[in-house]
Amino acid sequence: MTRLKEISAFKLLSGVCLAFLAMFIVAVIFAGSVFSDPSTLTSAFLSEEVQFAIALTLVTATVATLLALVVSIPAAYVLSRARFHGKDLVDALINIPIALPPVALGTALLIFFTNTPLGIFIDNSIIKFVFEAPGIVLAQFSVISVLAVRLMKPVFDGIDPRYEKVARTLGHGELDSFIRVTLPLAKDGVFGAAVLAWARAMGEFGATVTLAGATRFKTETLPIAMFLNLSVANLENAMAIILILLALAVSVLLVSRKIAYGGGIPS
Amino acid sequence: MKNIGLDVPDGECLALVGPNGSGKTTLLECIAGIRQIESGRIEYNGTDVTHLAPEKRQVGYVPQDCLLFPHLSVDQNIAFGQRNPSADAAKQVKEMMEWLGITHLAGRHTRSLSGGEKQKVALARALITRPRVLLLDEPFSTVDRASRTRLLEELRKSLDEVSHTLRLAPIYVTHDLAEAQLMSDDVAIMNNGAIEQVGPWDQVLQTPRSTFVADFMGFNILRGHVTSTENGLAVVEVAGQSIEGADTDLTVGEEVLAVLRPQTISLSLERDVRKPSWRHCQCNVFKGSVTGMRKMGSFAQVSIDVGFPLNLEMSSELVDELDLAIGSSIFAQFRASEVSFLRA
Repeated sequence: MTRLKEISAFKLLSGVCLAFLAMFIVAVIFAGSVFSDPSTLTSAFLSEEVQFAIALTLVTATVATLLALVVSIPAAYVLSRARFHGKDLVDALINIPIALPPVALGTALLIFFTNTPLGIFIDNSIIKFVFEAPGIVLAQFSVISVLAVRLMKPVFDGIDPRYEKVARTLGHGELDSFIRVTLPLAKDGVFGAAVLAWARAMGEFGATVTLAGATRFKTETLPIAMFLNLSVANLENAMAIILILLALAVSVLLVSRKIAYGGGIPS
Repeated sequence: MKNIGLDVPDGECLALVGPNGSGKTTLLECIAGIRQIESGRIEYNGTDVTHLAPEKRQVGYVPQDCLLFPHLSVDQNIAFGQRNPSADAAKQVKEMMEWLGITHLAGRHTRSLSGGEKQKVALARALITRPRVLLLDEPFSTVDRASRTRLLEELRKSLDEVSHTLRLAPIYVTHDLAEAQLMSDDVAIMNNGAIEQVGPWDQVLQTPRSTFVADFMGFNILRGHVTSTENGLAVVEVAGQSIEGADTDLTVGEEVLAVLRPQTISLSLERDVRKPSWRHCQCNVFKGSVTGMRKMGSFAQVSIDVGFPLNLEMSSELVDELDLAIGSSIFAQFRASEVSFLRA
């Protein structure tokens, strides 16, 4: 009887915690719905500035995610499979950008491109990152690439390495075995990681604002547009952007859950 | 791993046996090339393949629990090892499936297959590449005991046909002796990363070369010392009793281990040798009593004490015939030629 009471008290406490967390989300939706009426929202949504921010965000986040995948898939694979000296150190190092505030990451990138010979050469002669749109992609890439590695390493950990060994005895080389066996087996996890990384890139603010700046109609992604609108007290536009980001977050979560619990993405 | 010396002729199946952790799978992976060896050589038909990548070795590998690719269908799994997908390649897959009697599995998902079906698909997948060596790593480790016997017999038939038709050398890894005996002509016993003994089954069962092999094979191991050697026969005193065994190079007074297979001991209610074919042989006969007995279907394991303990295996029918029970007085009989000696 005592044990039953203990469990009930524990469950009650857990329920309160869950409700408390859920309240944050409800508060955001509530704020959005009481503050703005549909017509204001529609006009804010259709405003040139918000449209520009949506397009820029979609393009930069997609490019950053694709670039991050190109690097993160092999990196996560190596981190999962290979045994080498200093692996723990590398593992810890690539976690740093996750623990670091994005604004610090952006500052480090800004200093690199404005104060080091290599950085200045790249920024002047190859591709301009500082206060330009490519800077947004780089800022997003810096934040999400390590996140993608973190998310994908357990996916590769969960795939029996013996599948690749069997593939090799069947006449396929190392890369071929990876492409034909490991990658298809990892596709759900990789896709899930990509979706989350993409969502994180869309919401990236700290590193972006530091490296690419907050210039209207130039480096104005959705979070920066929200920041700029809040700074001039244009709450209608800010709220429209919050609702867009919210809708995005909900869609991403639904897609991720569908992949995780709904039997994966179709072949 | 160390001191690995193995020679596997085409068309003959070799069983690699040993306890868990003895290095069987590691050795198989070295042969397949998915693990590198530090020193030594691996040759196929005189060609050195030691530093050849696994994809170039032409090795068929059927791993533990088969490892069929879960994202591919049965046909796609079998066709996986083919170089160029073509109409001819598709025909080869069909022929291979017909040969192994699995055409009904065409198009099926690997998840829906039974243990035996998976095993045949894995075998087909390995054979389609026309390998020179076929490596089977405990292919039935996850199959229940009842189905295993039937599957083993089916595989044995397929292997016999496959190894002779394709002229390849199958190496079968298991820790189950009965399974190994059913599947292979020769046996190699591994312990601690080394091969303790290799040879035809008869030879290994007749004369185990080390205490480990004798122990692993379940032999009775009796410690004693040599009291006489005469006419190719050695007499060894064990716990005050004299055991005769065939040997020529022992010296009187030497400490030895007499080893004896449980299946070679017969029981009788009388001192006279029971088996007619043994009557003209040099036979050891000891009086003792039954100390333990366990019937396992058609055969039984019996423990007796004849001044020293002996374990033996016999048919349950004979146990009933002799009306054996714990404490029964009995004569243990075994031929001197079945006793071999190891230096202690």
